[in-house]
Amino acid sequence: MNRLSHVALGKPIRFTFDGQSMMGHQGDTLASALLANGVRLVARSFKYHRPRGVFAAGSEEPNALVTVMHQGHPEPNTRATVLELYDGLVAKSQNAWPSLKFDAMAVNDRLSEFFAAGFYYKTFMWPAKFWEALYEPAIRRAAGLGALSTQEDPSQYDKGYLHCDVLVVGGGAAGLTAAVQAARQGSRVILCDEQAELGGRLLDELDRTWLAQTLADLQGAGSVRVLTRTTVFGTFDHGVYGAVSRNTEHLANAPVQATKQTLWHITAQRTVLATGALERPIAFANNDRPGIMLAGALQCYALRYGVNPGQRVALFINHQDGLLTARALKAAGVNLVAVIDARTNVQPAPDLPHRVASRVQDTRGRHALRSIQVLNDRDQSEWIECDALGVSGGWNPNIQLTSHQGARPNWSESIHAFVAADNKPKDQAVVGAAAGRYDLGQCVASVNELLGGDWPIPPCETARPDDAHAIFQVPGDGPAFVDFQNDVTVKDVKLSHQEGMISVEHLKRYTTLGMATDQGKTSNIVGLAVMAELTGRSIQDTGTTMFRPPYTPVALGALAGRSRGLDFKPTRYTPSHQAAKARGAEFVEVGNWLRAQWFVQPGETHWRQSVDREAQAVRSGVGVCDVTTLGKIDVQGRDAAEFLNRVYANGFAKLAVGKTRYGLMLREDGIAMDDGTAARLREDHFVVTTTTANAVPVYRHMEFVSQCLTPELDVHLISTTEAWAQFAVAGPNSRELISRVVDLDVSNEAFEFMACAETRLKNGLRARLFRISFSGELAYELAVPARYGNACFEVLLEIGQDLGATPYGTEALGVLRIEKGHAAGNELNGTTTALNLGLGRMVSDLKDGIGRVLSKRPELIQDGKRLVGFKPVDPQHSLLGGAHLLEIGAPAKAAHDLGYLTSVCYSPHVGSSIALGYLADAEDRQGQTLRAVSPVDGSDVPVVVCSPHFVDPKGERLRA
Amino acid sequence: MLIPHPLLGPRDASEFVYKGDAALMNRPDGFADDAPEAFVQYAYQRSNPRGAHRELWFHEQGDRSWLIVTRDTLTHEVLDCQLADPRRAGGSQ
Amino acid sequence: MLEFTQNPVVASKLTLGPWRIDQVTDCSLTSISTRAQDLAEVQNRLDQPLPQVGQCHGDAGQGLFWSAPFQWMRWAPYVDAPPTHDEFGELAYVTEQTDGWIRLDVQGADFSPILERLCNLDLAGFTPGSVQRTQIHHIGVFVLSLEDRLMIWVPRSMAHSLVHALTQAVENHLAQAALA
Repeated sequence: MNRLSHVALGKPIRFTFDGQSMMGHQGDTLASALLANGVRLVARSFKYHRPRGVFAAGSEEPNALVTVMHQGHPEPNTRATVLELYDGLVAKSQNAWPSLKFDAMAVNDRLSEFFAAGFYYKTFMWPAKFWEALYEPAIRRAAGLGALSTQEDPSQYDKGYLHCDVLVVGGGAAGLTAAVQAARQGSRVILCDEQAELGGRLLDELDRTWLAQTLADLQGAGSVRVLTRTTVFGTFDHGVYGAVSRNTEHLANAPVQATKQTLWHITAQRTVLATGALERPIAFANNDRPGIMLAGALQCYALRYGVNPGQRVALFINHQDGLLTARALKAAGVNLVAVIDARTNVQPAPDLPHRVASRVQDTRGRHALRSIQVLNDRDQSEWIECDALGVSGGWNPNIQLTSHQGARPNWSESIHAFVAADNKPKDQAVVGAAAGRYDLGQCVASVNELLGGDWPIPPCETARPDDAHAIFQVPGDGPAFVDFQNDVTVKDVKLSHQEGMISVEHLKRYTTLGMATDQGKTSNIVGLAVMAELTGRSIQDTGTTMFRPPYTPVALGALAGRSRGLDFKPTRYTPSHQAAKARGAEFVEVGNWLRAQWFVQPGETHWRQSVDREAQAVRSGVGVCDVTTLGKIDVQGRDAAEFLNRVYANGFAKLAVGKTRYGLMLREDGIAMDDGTAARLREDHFVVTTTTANAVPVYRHMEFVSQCLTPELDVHLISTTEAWAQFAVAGPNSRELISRVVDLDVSNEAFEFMACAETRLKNGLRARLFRISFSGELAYELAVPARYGNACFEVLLEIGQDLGATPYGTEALGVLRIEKGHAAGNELNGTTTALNLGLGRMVSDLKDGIGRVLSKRPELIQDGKRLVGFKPVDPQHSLLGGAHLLEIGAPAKAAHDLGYLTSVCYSPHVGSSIALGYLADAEDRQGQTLRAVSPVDGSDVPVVVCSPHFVDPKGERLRA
Repeated sequence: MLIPHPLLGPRDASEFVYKGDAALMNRPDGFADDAPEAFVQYAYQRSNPRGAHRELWFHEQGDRSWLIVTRDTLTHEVLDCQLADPRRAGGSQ
Repeated sequence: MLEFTQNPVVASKLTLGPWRIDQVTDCSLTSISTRAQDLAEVQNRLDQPLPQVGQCHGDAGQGLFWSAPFQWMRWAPYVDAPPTHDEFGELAYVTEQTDGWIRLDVQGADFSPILERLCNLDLAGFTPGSVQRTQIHHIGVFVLSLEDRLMIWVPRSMAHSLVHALTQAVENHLAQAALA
């Protein structure tokens, strides 16, 4: 095992990688444990299937993506560098077959000439039919890294909402300082860090004195909510941030209820970004072999995890900080054989194998690094045996969160890196390494400056970024990788330049540089620096692409949270749900509501049996249907009637108290929006009904009219849909049934058609009664307080047993209203007018109702379609809603289209399928035979045009 | 996105429903001679500015007030926010 | 003949960890809507002050909360009678809301760890005497902070879904707390 002695390791634990059992320690990541076990080869690259090893030590890792089994469920594309080891962890490599060592697709590497950037724009084009049959399936199999499980994710995810005065992102030196200072100033602080432990890069140092002291200060600071294992992944408008906490992924056996992840919606007054800096590599030939890492990662594995990275370790650096890393490694007992420094203006350090003015040009070693080729200042080359190489071309402030809202970072020549733009979100301030203030002293100083604190500046070795020698690539033969995860090389950047894709935005999309799951964290700068050199422009002028959330990948499960399966939306139960269920109801989703669709009686095996029976029961006896879901809006005020005159096309000012009227609502563009009724209970009190689907939009519309168009009218609106359980009681025996239950004279003289009243039941319970009919039968709607919904439903059916009282559902409700030619949602489909509905005369010209003016547009009038009825010529034929109407012999093309069917059902009273629909020249075509044609199912059915009132055309039953 | 409700303070945009340009408040007179042209203008013509935009939001999951929000369409900065109905100002006094 | 029993409750003395959730059925709810110019007179006729924006006051038996500009909701013991228009005449309009909402009282420990999982309330400012309309799992509810309880008003049809949301949130919170 490759362990260094200075780190006190946690308890030993067992894990499995690619079927092999190994030992690690509590506190390891999968990456550190694999390295400790001498496992160098952990992945195959995306396109070329080149052998790859661990490259970094944090979430910026591009190579070491594995599939981990989390409670038996595979999770692909997990970075081994952030996966905390637990006892029994099972992980496997991806993108290699049959094994990591002998990957068949490695042939792609040999054929790399053909797989250069943009190859898919130029290949797989011919012959065209090969695309679907051959190319696409092959590409799909070859593409991607991990494989998705097809099973449902067994984990639970939750969401939460947090508010604070100061959000501190990053718990390293600067972040800890900021959190403590802000808390001591009295702010409510939230501190987030993506790692399990606070400290950031301080954890990669041998001396943790300052860290320990600061953590103690944090403990004592009070109002700081610390969220570790929490990534702030996105900046949203106005100080809102998205974050994900990983709750159980580091545990072997956590209960599912503990939730795997929590998605946080954080609203912060101010945000301090202490997100640190990420190291950038240098591009040179074969710079991607297992064993080649970022220099800071080598330091992390050695000093934090106690892993000896290799027997003969080298560094390739261009700045002073590289020497600090070298000394730290040496102090930890690592065998350093060479420190290859690109700087030309420094003297070799006597305590290190320091070679100045030198570069690494190439490497050897297929499955693991064996040697490196070093060039000196006279371009003489020497091969050095080496099994671990740490590379550092400098540090990039981690400023992604400043760019999510569209601010484009600026290049700072003094530190050779991009820093946050001036027009970053106003609530954000950047401190520490994220602001280019790299060492511990500078971190503390930057926070003092921001918050007005006066913390002592701790002594530290200063890494002077201004002494860096800017180097992004070393010319040579062999592939020099820029983007490791998407296999983009310097040659691809050159190809992009050659093809004219020289802007960074084009470079990105053409080569896919920066488009992998690491969003180019270790590749963007090198790529655009190479392009800058090719175009002869400065990096400032070349610019950089911007960043988008999420900073690191976020599981869709976390975004969904609880909204899965039946919990996706609330379920709305009607007040008679239980009683209906007990009577055999099958329910249908109507928006969020569950409504009884039909009631299954013993012996019924097909829904048509139930529905036909219910419809017939209503027309021959009496039926009871729960219609609570239709919107009910209370409209009160001195100007209530005048208000209704504005929102409805027809008039309401003269509606008498105790009467109800049908109302048609238009949109301002003249299209029919909704229909319903308005009942005048008192001079200044109406109850308006709407269709179920439009309950919310109509209420919204009415508030718009009241508040925005007619503020001079005294009217007060409130929804009462839920408060009343409402039942349609319909059929020739409905009056008798109602009279048994309601304490009111409901004779035809005392309670005419369209009457309404506030009243009581015979047991004293308050109620409302409306004599309105959707079925065309003698009918009432009875409303009682919703808590008595079940009871009322049951009592009506029991008391009405001898009258044939039958519960009916939405299907029978639909059959009945179609038989009577009543319009519903299908007819008010957002393209039809009052004229189409045959209600043209309802649009009053005596008042300026909404929609009146534009309803008279010639285009709407010329349409000429009217709502009529249709029956199949052959009663055995079924009709299909949406079918289009054509003359016999006319070709089935739009030019010959005469209209379409809107509502279709089987009518037990007519004995065949019937339909309502819109037809041009409807009056002239009465009795004509046309065809109902549907390209959807290929049907072409002869139909005869008839009245939409299939039953009781004179409407005599209504007024009985 | 947060909308600074004049009575309730900053509230998340998810509590609201967006309607469109505040010009919708200026409904023409339906009986004027030029009503047809005026209504076409009212219903269909929008200026779609790059910058400050006055628009209507309905606080459906809150107090059911309609708000006139002046928002920069580029930066989403909210420059102003008022109750559409002056009678609602004050809220409780 | 007309034996009317009430619909079953959704939560009866439901104990979830250190909390107890109770549906209170002996309760009526009325909305009162008025105008600025009539406010003083309406105030005179009421036996208690009308709360300011975002405020409420009351106890288990009765109280008032602000719901919209110049609109309040009043809760009181249940009566089988509609609100009378005579209470305020033309000065204010009343609408019966009683069965449109179900009232759930939450008592026991501080409910903040659960509320922060459910809704976007800024809990630091949500002290006794506060009311907010907010969303819990896409359900619009009123949440009132009173001295001895939290009072949640949820639309009747969605009460089952809300109790499910509360139950799950408590389960998750307790399971997570047990990990530490």
